[in-house]
Amino acid sequence: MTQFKYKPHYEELKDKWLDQQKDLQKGLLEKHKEAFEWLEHKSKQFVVGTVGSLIMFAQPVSASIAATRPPTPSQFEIPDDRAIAPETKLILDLTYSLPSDVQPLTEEQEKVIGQTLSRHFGMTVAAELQGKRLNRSYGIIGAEQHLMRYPGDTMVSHFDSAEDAAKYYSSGMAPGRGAWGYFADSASTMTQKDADREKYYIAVQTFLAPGYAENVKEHYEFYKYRKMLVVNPENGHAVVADIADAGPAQWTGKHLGGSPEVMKLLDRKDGKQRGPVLYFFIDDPDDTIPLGPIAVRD
Amino acid sequence: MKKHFYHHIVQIDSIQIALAGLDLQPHEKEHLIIIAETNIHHSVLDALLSELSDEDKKRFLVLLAHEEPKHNEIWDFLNLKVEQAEAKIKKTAENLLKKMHEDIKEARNKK
Repeated sequence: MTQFKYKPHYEELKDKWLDQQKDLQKGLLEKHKEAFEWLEHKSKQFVVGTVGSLIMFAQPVSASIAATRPPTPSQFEIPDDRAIAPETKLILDLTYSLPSDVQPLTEEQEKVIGQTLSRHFGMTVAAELQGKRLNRSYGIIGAEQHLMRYPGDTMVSHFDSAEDAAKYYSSGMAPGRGAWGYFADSASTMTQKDADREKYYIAVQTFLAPGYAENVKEHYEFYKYRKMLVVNPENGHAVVADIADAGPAQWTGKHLGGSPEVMKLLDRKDGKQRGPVLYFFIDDPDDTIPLGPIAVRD
Repeated sequence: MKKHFYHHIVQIDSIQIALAGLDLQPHEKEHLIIIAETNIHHSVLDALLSELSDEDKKRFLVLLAHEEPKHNEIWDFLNLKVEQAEAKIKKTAENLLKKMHEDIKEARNKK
């Protein structure tokens, strides 16, 4: 008579529990497929991730156990490198804070998002500065044209290089001046700062800002070339821009406009060059933060 | 050890004690504990996700996927979105722990 041999305890429990784990994971991923795929898609923009690894982000595996354990207990590999790209951290933080629709943020949301942006970009930003705030801080941006920097500035004289001309010529130049006039008196007196102010300008609806009608002069001075951090919450791209024009009109359905260079940096990909952005005032009293692209800090 | 947001209501000490009664090498015991924790985690995730709307599922996953999940934020969210979230987590984990104890008992009795 052959004696039946039982598997050792470890083998028996391991096989049974791994089968159970397989079923649980399969059920979890199938049942909530859309949510996991969404998260994976969100992270894929900057991180090589899988649904499995995303689940495993929440796994409680201590370093000591991980170092001594036998083969991975899951069909998914536990990622050795859990580093998340800074842009992805920003996107995830914003995903949690932002409403699902592009709508005016509450003061509480603005506060949280202001802190998030300040942390990620290493500067102090806020929806309200010196008692002034725009009509909103989260809205739809659309593409604007180039602005005349000085009397006589044309599409021929406007670009620093052939490369820039090739990239941005097609945007054309607005027929009038910006809301604050020319950036310089002439080509010969135009500084790099003047040029950058046009290059990285945004147009915001100053005329809809609370209190604007009651004190136009004060608001006019406050908004002139005021620096703002503009962030595309869908990809983490950001630019330090300045307010150099007023608009767009309410009927356009847009809430702000960006120069061709700003739109390129924000990398709007929907073809129509419009989409949601966050725009917060930068507190830079000593004017130390340069205009232009800015990356999320590590 | 990195702790889950539910570590204060779900403990697997009883599994560790039960495994101590088996003929296991230390690394084998640790491996089984990892599997047990993973299975509980997936069960808890499934139980909570099943209570959430499609949009809230995404928000919950974002909270969990954070490099350093903020337990207080997760609980604020769950308390808002899931009725008796704590009790549901506890019950889900207890059901699975009970089954694991049966498995351990069965394995022990076979020898």
